[in-house]
Amino acid sequence: MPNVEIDGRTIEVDEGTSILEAAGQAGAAIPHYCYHAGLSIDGTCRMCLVEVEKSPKLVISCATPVAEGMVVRTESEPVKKAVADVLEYLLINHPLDCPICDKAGECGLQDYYMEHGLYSSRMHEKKWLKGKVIDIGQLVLDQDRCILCTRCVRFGDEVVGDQELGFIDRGSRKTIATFMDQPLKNHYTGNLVDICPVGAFTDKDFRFQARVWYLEQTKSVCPGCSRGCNIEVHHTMRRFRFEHKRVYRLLPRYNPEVNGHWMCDFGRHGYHSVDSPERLFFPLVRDGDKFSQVPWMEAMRAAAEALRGAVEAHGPEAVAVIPSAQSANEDLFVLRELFRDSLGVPHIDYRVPAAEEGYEDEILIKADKNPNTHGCADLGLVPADGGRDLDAILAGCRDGTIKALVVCHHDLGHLFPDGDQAEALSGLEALVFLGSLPTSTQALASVVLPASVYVEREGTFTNFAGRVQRFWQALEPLGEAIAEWDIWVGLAQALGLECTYRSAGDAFDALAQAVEAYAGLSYDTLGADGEPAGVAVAEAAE
Amino acid sequence: MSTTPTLKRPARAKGDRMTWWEAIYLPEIFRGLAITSRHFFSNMTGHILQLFGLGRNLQPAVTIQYPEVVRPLPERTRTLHRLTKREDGSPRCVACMMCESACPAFCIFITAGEHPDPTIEKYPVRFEIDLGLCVFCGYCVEACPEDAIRMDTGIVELSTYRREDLLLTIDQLLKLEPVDRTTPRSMHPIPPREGDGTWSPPGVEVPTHLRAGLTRLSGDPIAVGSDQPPSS
Repeated sequence: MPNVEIDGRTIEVDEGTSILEAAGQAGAAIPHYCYHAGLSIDGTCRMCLVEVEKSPKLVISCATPVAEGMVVRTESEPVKKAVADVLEYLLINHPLDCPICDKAGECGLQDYYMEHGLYSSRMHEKKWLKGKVIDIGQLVLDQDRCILCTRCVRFGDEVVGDQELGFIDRGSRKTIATFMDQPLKNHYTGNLVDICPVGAFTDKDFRFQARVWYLEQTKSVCPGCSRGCNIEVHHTMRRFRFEHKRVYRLLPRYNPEVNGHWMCDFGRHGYHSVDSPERLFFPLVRDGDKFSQVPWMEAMRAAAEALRGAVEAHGPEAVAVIPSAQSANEDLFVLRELFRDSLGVPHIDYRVPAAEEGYEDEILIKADKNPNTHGCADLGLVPADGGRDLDAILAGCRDGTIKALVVCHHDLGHLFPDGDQAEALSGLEALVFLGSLPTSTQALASVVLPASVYVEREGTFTNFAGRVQRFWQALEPLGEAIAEWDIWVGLAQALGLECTYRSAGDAFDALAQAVEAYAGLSYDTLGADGEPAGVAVAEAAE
Repeated sequence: MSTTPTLKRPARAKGDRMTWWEAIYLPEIFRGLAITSRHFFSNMTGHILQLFGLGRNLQPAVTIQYPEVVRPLPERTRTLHRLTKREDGSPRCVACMMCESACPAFCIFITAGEHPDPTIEKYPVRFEIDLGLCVFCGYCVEACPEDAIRMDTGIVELSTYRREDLLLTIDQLLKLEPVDRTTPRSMHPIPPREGDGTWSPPGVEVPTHLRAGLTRLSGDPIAVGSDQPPSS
């Protein structure tokens, strides 16, 4: 492996590594626009020029592989001059409309200008105007701002696989465009906004919503499908009192094991329900035809009395639980302890089919739109011996053998093709609904327990490949919603059972003790990238 | 090595015991009366002399008969804000939120909308200043890249009977005019709020979610962080 000296530091890197990547390993940040770790090398922007000893002129570090004994200087005077000159060239036709550009604050041109430019303009000529505010589907294209780095073109070619964007015209008029300004049709367009080093693409969903320096970042996991892309939640409370909006956007977080650099548009725009005014904010207890808002204690007592009554009068076989794969592992584990282990309920089935078949592709999007189906399966939330599966549970609701039903998150309406959900569930003595958003099933419930959403709590999801991934709390819950595991703990205590989990971490560590596939995992050491479940089991088998 | 300077205690520091002369009070009372009388008679003399065009160099004390007479404010006094306008009467503001970002009191709130003219692109649907929070520091004026906000209306009388009236909306801010320097101070009252507190270019419908209105005035329907642990 070649040894290379970068700014006086000698390091050993892999064969074929570019100077830019080697410099990154050596701790020297080389400015660049067209280079992106997730895309092929193009070498169009010329920003990453470095001085290589015995080379007659500066070379672009992104496209020059290191060689044995190479001596590289990234901060010499010729390099500084070259970078400032390239920057000046890129800014010749740049409109400098930073005040109205959503990229301002995280813009490559702004950042490198402050670092390497800092000259005043020498241009007297008018700037070339190409096109502003061009509607291309989910995105808005601003050709004036583009610096022609081709990241978006390569993204289309290499990641998505459809060549929707390309260059038209030549020279100063050269610009990025779709054919006849047709809208982009792929489901990964949001990534173009992320990889664009300037503000040439803006997402209509985030456009003009907030300035990026308002936003705080919290690591999380996308709950949009079973892929479990690692994301960053960008949120602020600053404008909440006017707008009732807290989460402003989701960005992908690099995880080579799951999503690489990317995420899909469905996940990216799937955060709106978090701040929805429709959400269930308060515990509700049925009062005739309508709900009345009650304190938590009262809702817990009502749910506990209903469950205890059903168990005492008809035995645990008269109770059924339909957990949801929307819930985190901790929630499911406490639910399992409460209903299966403590109350002895045999009828537990999470496998509620989706109302419509989910879209799936070969890149990231999975058909299963639940983030934690794997976790449900790992925890064995399927009927035990003598237990009923979902169809049998619903049949039991009809024929009166099931007296109390607990439903988490689901909208069961589509399971009743005749539209007779209300009639079918009317025989129940108690229907306890736990969830964040109202559903047709929630409307029939006798007790509604409001659960906080994923950005308002912490926990873990297990993705389709069995990777246990942690998400963090970004915000306080709205209204009186609390985390699901906490609701089950409260319900267990209202039932007089011993249940002492005080945090999601407590519950996860107990889960790791109890479930074989999760043996060896610890909440504190899970890390931002997550860990595959079942490793300890596989190792033990070997 | 530096030597610590020793502070000499003054002969008579505040709070020390009064001398016998002070303790009997009467001489001090007469001293006080003498000071008051000296000001009274010197002011009276000054005013009477100036009545007859004499004693121009005297500066007798002045009482301004507010509100009948208003005192001219220094030219650069920061007074109530206003939004400046383009030639066609639309706001110069491009909703870049620099003022909102710079505001140390968090008293400015802007909602941006999509302008049909691509050369403008961004415009303020809502622009609100909460005078109940504003500290009149002028950072918003400094921060504005478009000279769209100024504090030159000359209005300093801001008291209201209702706290809500301290929230100025975009229509109010656009109606305000700069102070006329030929008169001592602007006599414009703060214009009353009209409509729902939004602005939009002619022919543009404000999206309903931006029109949401003055939620600030109706109060927060959703409380944050009011969760109670169920087991407590």
